[in-house]
Amino acid sequence: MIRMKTKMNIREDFPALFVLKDGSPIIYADSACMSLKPKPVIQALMDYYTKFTACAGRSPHMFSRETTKRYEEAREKTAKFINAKNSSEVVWTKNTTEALNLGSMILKLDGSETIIATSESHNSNIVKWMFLENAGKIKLKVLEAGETGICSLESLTEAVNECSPGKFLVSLAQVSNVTAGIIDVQTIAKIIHERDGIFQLDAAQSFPHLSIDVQKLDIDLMGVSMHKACGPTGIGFLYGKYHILEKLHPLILGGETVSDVKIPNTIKMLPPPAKFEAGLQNYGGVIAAGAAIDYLESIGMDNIHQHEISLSRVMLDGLKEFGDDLSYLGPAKAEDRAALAAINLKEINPHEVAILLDDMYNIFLRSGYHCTHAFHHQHELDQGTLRPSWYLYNTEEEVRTFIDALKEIMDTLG
Amino acid sequence: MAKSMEKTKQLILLLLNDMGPSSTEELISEAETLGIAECRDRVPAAIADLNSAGMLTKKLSKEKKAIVWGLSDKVDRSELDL
Repeated sequence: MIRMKTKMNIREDFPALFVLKDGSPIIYADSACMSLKPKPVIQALMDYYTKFTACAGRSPHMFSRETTKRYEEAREKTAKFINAKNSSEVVWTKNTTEALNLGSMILKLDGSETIIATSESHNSNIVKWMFLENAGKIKLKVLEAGETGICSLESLTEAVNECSPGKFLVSLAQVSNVTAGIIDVQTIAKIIHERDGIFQLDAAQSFPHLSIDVQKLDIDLMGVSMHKACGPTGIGFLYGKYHILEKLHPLILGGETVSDVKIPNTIKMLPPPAKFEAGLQNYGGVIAAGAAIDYLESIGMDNIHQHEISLSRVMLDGLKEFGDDLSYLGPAKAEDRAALAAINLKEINPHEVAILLDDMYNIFLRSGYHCTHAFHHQHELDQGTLRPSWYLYNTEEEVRTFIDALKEIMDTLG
Repeated sequence: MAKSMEKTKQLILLLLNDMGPSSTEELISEAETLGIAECRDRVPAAIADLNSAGMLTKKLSKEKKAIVWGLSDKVDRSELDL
């Protein structure tokens, strides 16, 4: 438990928690969308922009050398954090969406291969596949999420067995941003690898909250966004096993991806990760991402997860008090889910409630489809859902305040 | 994004002028019918922005189980025509 730090010190690390709205404190419950930033991350960004702003690897001066050093240090830290074999397996991208798009370039895209995804996939992990299918470049299988908010191992096994060996990619979210379900990554990797498939993990909602060991879990490709993990916006990464990255085609080509170019047609590509990082990079973002990794490591991912289970428990207990007036999908036990819930308020539009929570109670959360349009339509949740999402800096008291505010609003409107 | 948000805000003002007091969902639905060029999830943020700027009135309605929005006196209705 982060008891000592969470209740006091951790909150002090996050300046945004102390912003007042109309003179009163706020409650931030939108971390599944965007996490708040701790002081060391903000400082790392400030340092880059005030003390050594430069391009990495391009110039011989001190600023450039410092940028290069910190840029690659951040890659090292990230690789170590997820237990990658080496830092060349970490490719900087701007977010999970770009990472997953890049990961799919491992396919030939000649119509002979299959991508398997699930119905609760975020748009970042389904829209591209639908485009590719419409263009005849892949076959797409979409598995339905069950009551627990994740697809069953049986349906996944069946889908995998229907694919030609070695000619499919399975792209799944470890944690759903709407059902909060957590998949059994290790077992799924085994099912996929027994048929020589590629396993791509959307870790946007898991990386900030759970310890991930890519070697132990046997993940082939993994997309991460740092903005949900105490890091800055506009930076994420693709992890890939090196032999897969060697075969992967870049999404973007240009400067820094080649060792030499001769007209008419000689291009010498650099090895991974350089061949994927074309053009000027988000150096400040990468360096601050490294600071975010340091910060998460200093708290401990297991401590964060345990704290979030406590928050989830308070939320789920509170939601039970509403009886049939609301519902939410996903696992029943706090231990089996992420610290968020996409709540269906039945007769009340979730946007009305989100606006009132902001306006009257200073509680910030998200309402609507949460970039999972297909899932909401499939479950006839066409008005969307209300989604509180909690993180390491939230307290049980804040969760209770949210429950009480929700009750008052529903009493007023209902 | 800023441009489309401004367009959405303008559309909401036009809709409220045309439809009279309306709930968030009614405004979203009508904006969708008219072919709003962004995700419906962005409409509430535009409404909240207009509310913060004092352009809207707000009433809670048990009948509609919703907030009912109207145009405030700050809005020049003569410039609104759908």
